[in-house]
Amino acid sequence: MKTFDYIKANSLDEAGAILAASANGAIHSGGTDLMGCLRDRIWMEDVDVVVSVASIEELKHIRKDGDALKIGAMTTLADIAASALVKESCRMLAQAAQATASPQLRNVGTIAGNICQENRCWYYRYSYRIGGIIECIRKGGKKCLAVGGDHRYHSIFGAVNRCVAVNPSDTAPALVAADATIATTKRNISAREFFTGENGKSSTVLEKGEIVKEISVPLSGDGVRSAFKKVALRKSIDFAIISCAAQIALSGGRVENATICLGGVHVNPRPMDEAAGVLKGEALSDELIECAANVALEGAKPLKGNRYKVQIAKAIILDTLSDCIL
Amino acid sequence: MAEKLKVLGKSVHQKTALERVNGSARYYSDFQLPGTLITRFIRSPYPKAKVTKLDTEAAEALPGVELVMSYKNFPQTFRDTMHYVGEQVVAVVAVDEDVAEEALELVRVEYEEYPAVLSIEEALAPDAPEVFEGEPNCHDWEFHYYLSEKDPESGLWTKKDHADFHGFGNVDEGFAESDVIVEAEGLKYAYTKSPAMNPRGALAHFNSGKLTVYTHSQGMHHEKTVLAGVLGLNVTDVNYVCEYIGSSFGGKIAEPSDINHPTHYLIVACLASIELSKPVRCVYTREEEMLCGWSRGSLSNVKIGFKSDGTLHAISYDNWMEMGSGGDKWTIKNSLLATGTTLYSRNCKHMRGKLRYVHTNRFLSSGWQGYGAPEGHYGVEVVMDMAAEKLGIDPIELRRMNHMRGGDIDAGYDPLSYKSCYISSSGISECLDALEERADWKKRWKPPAEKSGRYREGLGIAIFCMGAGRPGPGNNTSAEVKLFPDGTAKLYSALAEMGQGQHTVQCQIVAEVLGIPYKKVGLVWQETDSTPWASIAASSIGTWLQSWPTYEAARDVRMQLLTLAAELIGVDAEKLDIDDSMIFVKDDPSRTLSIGEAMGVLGIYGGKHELIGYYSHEVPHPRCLKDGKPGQLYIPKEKGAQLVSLIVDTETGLCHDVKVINAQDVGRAMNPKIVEGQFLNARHGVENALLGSDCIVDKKNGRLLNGNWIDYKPTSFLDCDIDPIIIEKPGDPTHPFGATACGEGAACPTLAAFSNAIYNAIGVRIKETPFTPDKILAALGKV
Ligand SMILES: Cc1cc2nc3c(=O)[nH]c(=O)nc-3n(C[C@H](O)[C@H](O)[C@H](O)COP(=O)(O)OP(=O)(O)OC[C@H]3O[C@@H](n4cnc5c(N)ncnc54)[C@H](O)[C@@H]3O)c2cc1C
Ligand code: SF4
Repeated sequence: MKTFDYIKANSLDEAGAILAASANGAIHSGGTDLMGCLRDRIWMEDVDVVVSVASIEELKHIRKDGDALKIGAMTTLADIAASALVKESCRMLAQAAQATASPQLRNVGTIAGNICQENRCWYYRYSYRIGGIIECIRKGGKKCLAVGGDHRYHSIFGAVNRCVAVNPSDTAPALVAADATIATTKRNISAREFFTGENGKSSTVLEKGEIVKEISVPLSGDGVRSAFKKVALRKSIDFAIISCAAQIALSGGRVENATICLGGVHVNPRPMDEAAGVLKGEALSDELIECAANVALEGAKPLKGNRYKVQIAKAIILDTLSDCIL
Repeated sequence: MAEKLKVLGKSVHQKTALERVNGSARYYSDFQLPGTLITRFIRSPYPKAKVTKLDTEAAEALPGVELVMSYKNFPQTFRDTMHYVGEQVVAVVAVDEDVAEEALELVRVEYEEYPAVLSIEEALAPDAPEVFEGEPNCHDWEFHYYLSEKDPESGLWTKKDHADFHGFGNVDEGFAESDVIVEAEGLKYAYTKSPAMNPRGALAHFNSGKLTVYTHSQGMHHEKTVLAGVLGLNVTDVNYVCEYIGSSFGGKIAEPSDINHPTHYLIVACLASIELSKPVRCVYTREEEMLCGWSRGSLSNVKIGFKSDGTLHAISYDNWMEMGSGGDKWTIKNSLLATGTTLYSRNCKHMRGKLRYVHTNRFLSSGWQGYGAPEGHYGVEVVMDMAAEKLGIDPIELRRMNHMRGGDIDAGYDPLSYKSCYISSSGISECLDALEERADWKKRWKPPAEKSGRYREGLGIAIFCMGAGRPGPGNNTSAEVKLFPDGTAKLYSALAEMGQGQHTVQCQIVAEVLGIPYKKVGLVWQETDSTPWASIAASSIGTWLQSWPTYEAARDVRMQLLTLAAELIGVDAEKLDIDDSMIFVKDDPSRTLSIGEAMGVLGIYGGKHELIGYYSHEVPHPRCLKDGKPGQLYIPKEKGAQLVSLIVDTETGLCHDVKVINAQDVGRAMNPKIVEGQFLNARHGVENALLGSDCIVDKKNGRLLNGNWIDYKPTSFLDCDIDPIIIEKPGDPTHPFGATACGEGAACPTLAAFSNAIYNAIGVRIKETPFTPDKILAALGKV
């Protein structure tokens, strides 16, 4: 990796100022993703400053605040997974945090880092050490190698900016399904708007120097159940082939409201609104859930080598919704 | 020696466990010498190319760069032709990493790219481009032999002729005589990698004409000797230091004389250190290790003929082993172990094994854990399962009827040195019995037709035998034992410890023979300068080979001690024994003498300050000969049976509740805990079967896409449960205490057992490993 200045910021203002003054500064939270990105030089521009925000105390909290659950950006995934408050008010988020990586990584990895992490496309991540980087579209090149190459883990819902890499975050679908809001040093962004493949190298809409401060999850009322499921090859330390978060609000035995979001199927976490719509106003049954799963995948456009993901997506929607009912 | 074993058979603590747990164990990276230079490589971006222009001037001029190495100045190690993505083009040796990386960017290389072959199938195509110019991609194994003229008395083959296949009898006749023939083609064993925790690397320090190398090795004396020859140094001027290996799985053997072998970390560090007279470190990153670590993979066709009662009659086995762009062709011979030459030698009358190795423009393959045997077992044990179904015989029963027994003739193991040998022991029946009971097989096993629903249980079985030891002459290994007046002893043995527990077991042998506590035996193993020659710890050889010199050297010391004691006590040495560090008269145990008293030490004068025993073991030990007859050799095998149980989720294609039960007859478990640890070797089969651990190469540009441990997924403890069953059948003549081997065996049957379990669950045979959800769902018609 190239040399850079490493500065530990004591406040958000300080961190913001350092980033503003840098040519291409990067934010360091737990560093579990950042280190890999720097070490393998996956970014086209060299980073000149790395600012650590990990020790800013105001960013570490989980609390109830009015009708929302507030989670500081530097809260670790381990703390979220273990929090009684999160388990009670947004079970799928606690489950998603628990399903992420390994105990060691969850102990240092933060929620902000988790939603801001880079994609894992193996062409994009290819180490420069073994014959040089692969210049794909996302790296400013002309071609997406995954489309014509090995895309077994890539998008089944088409490309954004001709890139078919999927967003790998496990907490992202949970935050989208929970209709969370992400507060940054500049604005509030809904989780649905937060993720974007439009922004070149980054997976989010964050601008240069913009720092995630807090995540706000609306508190759910009685009769609301949520669940998160993940399909991965290795039972520990593995990214999802597909993940799914769903939340159902039941009233008088009928679905009042539902949200479903898939991870690992598209460049961004993919809300399944039509499928959720199928559930609304209906009494839940196995047939209904199956119908929702089929509707969810109707618009799928798998590539030649990842059709199997469509089947897994259907199965995981079924399992997640069933878990919501239990 | 006491009649009853006191130290062997106990799970004493491992000799170097404390160091490994508390962090004081020194791996090669822990050796820090002031002023050490570091190395970085430029690696080929193309699978096949020629360097047309190379300009290193700017890099050489960069302050801090000490040496730039390429085919121009080091043609013995670098070349201008590239055979795989990642082959080394240039090495930069500099004061630190930053300088080295900056220098790499200053090197200008231009390549001319050529068409390449990136899989066995491509390499075998009629007009395939050649990996090595002027050389065909596919080679027939040069050491196929036809065996004939069985000696009626010994049962051994007496005639051995070069042929274009390996075997005996006449398979065409064999199949004509068979009632049921079962065959499968295109069984593909994916290109998998030995996942060693510690990547390859070396620190070399050339100083005042002497070279010290800090590295890892499964056979440091051998490596050192070859290295000295390559570098033109005297053997006595090279010292090899290998304290801890950092795991190996059979892949940490350097071949400094072979440019195609991934030994460049070693040779580059040494050449640069000699050139600069400074310490030079050359260490691979994980990505480099994922290239240069040993791989394996093959394609096989298997055909087996049976009599209607299930008696195996004839086997035809074809194997194409992918060798990448170099590596070790000898691996291929072990694929025969699973065939009629050995595992099914009992009833097989006609055997034809045709082996080929195939070059591709991928990084090399070499036989890691199992050294070719897992590929053979995959093909044969899958077809045995298909046969059980066709014959209507229980899969366990079919194996029981046909597996090798002790005393059967091994006609394939080492075709170079013997015509055939006796299998010293088997125990596979006992292993099958144990598995049947442990898994409740009779109740649980049902044919696939009886399974339905989303979650389907599958049970699969496979048996195995792995070569244990190289019986060929010239296989030599030694040990030295010193005994001191305070009743402690020290073993000098260079046999590599790579987690298999050999250091511990060898010390147990010394304690046992000398009648002293295990804790009183120390060990010197760390470097070549202070240890006698030991053979390479490979082929699961350690127990079989090294136990003899340790045992004989300890007996040598024991005899010396008892001779001294005999004089003092006034009885013959044969009348004496040692127990609990006390020498006593067997007929009158009240007459005793301590070790110190027997050695008679008086201050710095008089008596013996140490007794030294030494033994150099030449294969075979006389006790390995049947009735002492030369040429009638018992050879041990690692052998057993493995059962996989799992539940297939037919909606996601994932397997859950994966359990591997490994039963092995080890003759004698010298340290049961260590033996159980060895059985965990089956876990590599789990990643190769289920976790998608195949070296995935882009079909166009030849780059390894999963060259890291996130995308290539070594098994974690949550992925499977391994249940070890140790069987101890005494009496194997090839070991001083009746132990047989226990090393790579558990890695051999696993992929077949998984294939059989998945078939048992879903009723569809998937021919290519790994058995990932995409393939399982496709087999179920859901893709
Ligand atoms: C072996 C391994 C396995 C993994 N498995 C999983 C998995 O199963 N599921 C999963 O979801 N992830 C996984 N990850 C990815 C990831 O490392 C973790 O999920 C973790 O949560 C990232 O958090 P961090 O604090 O370490 O982020 P960092 O590495 O510190 O940051 C990640 C990115 O976010 C940016 N960033 C960090 N904080 C902020 C902020 N406050 N505002 C704006 N930008 C910010 C950084 O600049 C960087 O680009 C894995 C990573 C590894 C190495
Ligand atoms: S999927 Fe995106 S990141 Fe991957 S190769 Fe294509 S453009 Fe690059």
